[in-house]
Amino acid sequence: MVKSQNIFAKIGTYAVLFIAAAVSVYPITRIITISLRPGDQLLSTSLALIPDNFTFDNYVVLLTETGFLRWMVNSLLVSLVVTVTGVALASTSGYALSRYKFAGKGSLLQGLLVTQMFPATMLLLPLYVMLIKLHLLDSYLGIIIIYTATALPFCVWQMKGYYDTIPPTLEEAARIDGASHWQAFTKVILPLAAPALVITALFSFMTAWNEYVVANVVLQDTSMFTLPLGLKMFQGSMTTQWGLYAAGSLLVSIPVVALFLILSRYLISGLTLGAVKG
Amino acid sequence: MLASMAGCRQESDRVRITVWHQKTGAERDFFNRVVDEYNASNADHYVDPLYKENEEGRNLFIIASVGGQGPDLIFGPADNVSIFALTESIQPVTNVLEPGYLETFSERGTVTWRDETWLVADQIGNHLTFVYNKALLPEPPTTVSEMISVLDSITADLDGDGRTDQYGLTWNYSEPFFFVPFLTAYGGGLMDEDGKPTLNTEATISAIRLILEMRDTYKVIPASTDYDTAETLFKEGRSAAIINGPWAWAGYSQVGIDYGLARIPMIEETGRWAAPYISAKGYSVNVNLDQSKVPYARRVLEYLTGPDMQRRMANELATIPVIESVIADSVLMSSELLQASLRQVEVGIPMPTAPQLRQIWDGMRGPYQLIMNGAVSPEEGAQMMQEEVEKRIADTFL
Amino acid sequence: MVTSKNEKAALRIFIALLIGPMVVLVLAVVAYPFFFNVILSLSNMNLFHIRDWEVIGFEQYLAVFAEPRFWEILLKTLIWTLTNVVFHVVIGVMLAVLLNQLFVVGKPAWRVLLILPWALPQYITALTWRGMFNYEYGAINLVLTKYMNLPAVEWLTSPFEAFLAAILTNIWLGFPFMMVIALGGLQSIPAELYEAADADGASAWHKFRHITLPLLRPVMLPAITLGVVWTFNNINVMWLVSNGGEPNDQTHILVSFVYEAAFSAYRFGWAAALSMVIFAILFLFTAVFLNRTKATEAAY
Repeated sequence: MVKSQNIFAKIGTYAVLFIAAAVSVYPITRIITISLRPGDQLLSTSLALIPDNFTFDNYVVLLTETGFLRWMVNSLLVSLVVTVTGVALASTSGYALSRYKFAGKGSLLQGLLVTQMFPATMLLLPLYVMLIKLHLLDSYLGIIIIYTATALPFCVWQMKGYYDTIPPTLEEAARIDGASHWQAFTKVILPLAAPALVITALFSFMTAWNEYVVANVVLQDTSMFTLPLGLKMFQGSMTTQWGLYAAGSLLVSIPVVALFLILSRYLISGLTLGAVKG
Repeated sequence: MLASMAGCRQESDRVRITVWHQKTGAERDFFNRVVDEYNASNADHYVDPLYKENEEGRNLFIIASVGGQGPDLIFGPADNVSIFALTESIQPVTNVLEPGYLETFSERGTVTWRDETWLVADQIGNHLTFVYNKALLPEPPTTVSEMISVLDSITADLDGDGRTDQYGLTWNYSEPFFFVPFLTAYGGGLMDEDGKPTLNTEATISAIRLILEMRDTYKVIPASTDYDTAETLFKEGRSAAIINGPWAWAGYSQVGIDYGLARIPMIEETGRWAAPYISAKGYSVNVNLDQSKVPYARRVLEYLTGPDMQRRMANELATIPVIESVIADSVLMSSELLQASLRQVEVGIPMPTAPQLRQIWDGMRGPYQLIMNGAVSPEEGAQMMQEEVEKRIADTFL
Repeated sequence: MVTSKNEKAALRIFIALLIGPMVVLVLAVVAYPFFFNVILSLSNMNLFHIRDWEVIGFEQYLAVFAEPRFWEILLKTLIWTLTNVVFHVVIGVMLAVLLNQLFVVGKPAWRVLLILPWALPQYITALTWRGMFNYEYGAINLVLTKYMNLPAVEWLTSPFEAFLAAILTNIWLGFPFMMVIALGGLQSIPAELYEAADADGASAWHKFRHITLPLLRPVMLPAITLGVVWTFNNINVMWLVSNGGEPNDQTHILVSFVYEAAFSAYRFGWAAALSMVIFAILFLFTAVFLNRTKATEAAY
């Protein structure tokens, strides 16, 4: 009786997982198909993964005749700087928010949440005016600051959540052994928070890697374009170069998917917004 | 393009003239090529082109210009001009050009609004035209009833599965811009001379009825379509004809369709040809253009809109020139494609320049699509369009 | 331990150094635009006054509430947010619980496959879904008509179906985040609790209801709060799937309405007022929600 129930539970589990995975992956296979079609065709009645007259032309053109590789280098540069800055700031401030009591702590945490509530579209005009005044137009510094600030509220929350799960007795022990506050933090706690640091890094990286709207306002020089901006050049109001767009989309996604793959084991343990206290 | 940018970087002491444009496909390739040529032959300044999609380019340009920045020149269709002028984002092109430069242009080659000239064109274009696949439709129809009977013979369910496999005609009829030719064929229009919308008219209703009849009674056009669907049907050879503008034509030969151009047919009841909007496309000058850059901007404009360029464009891209001496060149103008394109332009109507046009497009789109999916009758829809557009125009003053 | 005054001061500086840079950076990017927007919302900035705008008072706010479509779109936004978040959480938690079972093999592989919708840029996947909803060529209609003998659905041309299409797309995009959060939460539930329940002969549902859910709650609540805020303001998916509100501007949520007012009609003052209203709605919601659920209580 119990055994047959178990088998049904197992079959059921795999069936649901399989369906969910299929639904997750399917739209991506459509992008693959479009990228392999000749002649900028978005639509087709064929559901085949590999189209009849498939070609790698789009990839060849993308890599040799457009600025794709350059955009990729730019995007990597911007995203890596954002990642490093984001991790540095989120890991330190998250730690303070987790360990110490100070005036305004509650409102600071809520304030971070509040920054997420304002419609981003309306920030465009004032941000633009501000960047002009600071002479940060057409510079990476401008977008790096904006991206880092965009990613930070979530990252701080999530770093704090993770530190909360680490027992404070560990630092206390280190302090008794004569370590300073800073040493106790960097030598004892930070290594333990590695999974959360990885998530913060991943999230910061994705924020910068996928962002389009702000970059579109800030960067005007094609040689400085990031990948999403470059990809948008293939899209017109009437004529879109769908083949190039799809091929570019896939190549853009590969680094992020690869990161998810590599960091997959940290994902489940590292993402902690508000855990049960240990 | 990259090569040109690499060039610029090395000689950053050269004056940089930035141009935002919305040229796509073959036209963009051509544009980048002639810009490279120009940059190679000028030692003291260079052109830095940047593609921005129309709507996005317009919005960013206004924001940038209000912030005291933005590209030196912007290329786009005539209907952006009044919004740019109203927001004081551009200055009259006559501030930059030599007096008399514009005298060689045809009347359609410049855009004037409130007594100032704001745009100098390198072409007139944007005209929707009847494009037919010669393999499926050897002889284009000239009247609508002729068209319907021809299309009817082409439309077929070839494999008998209940889905139509081959259509007579397809186009993005759910978008108001693509509705205009039929509206004008019944004597209608979007606005009167004062810029007041004129949508709740018999002409609107008759034109909508015609499209609905083609779709529902004769079933010669697809039941539901958008731009990409229409393009795909035509490119796959599943539709014998499409109504589309010059920006798309090169794409058809790329996929191996042997196509011809013809006027969108005439409506017998009114004796009028279906008349698409035609619009000058060209360059405007940013209000923030630095005084020291004016001479360079002038030379760039003269290069990009001059007779040599228009001749090359007509030759390589089959665009319609707007300089009298180029138009008069019968050898140049004799190509089959250009001739057919010109025949459509002859019956075209200049796109209105009033800023309300945006509210008209946006306001009529909704009710128009409601009629198309059967939610309201053409009469109700026409009234809704008028009311919605009037509300939107009133709202802009708020 | 007795701490001296000096040590206290040093600790204060230490805390300030840890937090200061983050606060400065976030404030620099958020504060100025926010106050700029407050002023804009009190101004008459529009197509005709884009350079010579002036503060006129609360007229734009009155105009927002007088706009007949405001309430309808607010309702749609609430439906949009609620449906999305509910499905994100239900699907996410369900998959996490299934995936967390001991017998499941190849967990890392499943995880990566299920996370894919999150990993890809939204501006790419949303357009892909729009293609899949195409009447003539979309994969969804092809499957419906070819393999299931059902009639084709006019996904993108009927208001209800288009709205549904946008919701389906966004559910697809959003469940992995909740799944990952839930997976993390499940790790922290001690296995002994389940063993004890097994010893008492508890059913799977009973264990889920009385052990898993209550212990996941503190982990999920902050994520749900963020999910609500993000979904409420997610313009990408709605805008891209419905091609900017088609048909008949029926597929709007408040943020896309803001975008249209600002960048299609250039009603900057009005759009700024509407975005302040959105801000107020979310602010009130989170205040009440956090208070009711004590979601962040453990946080302070």
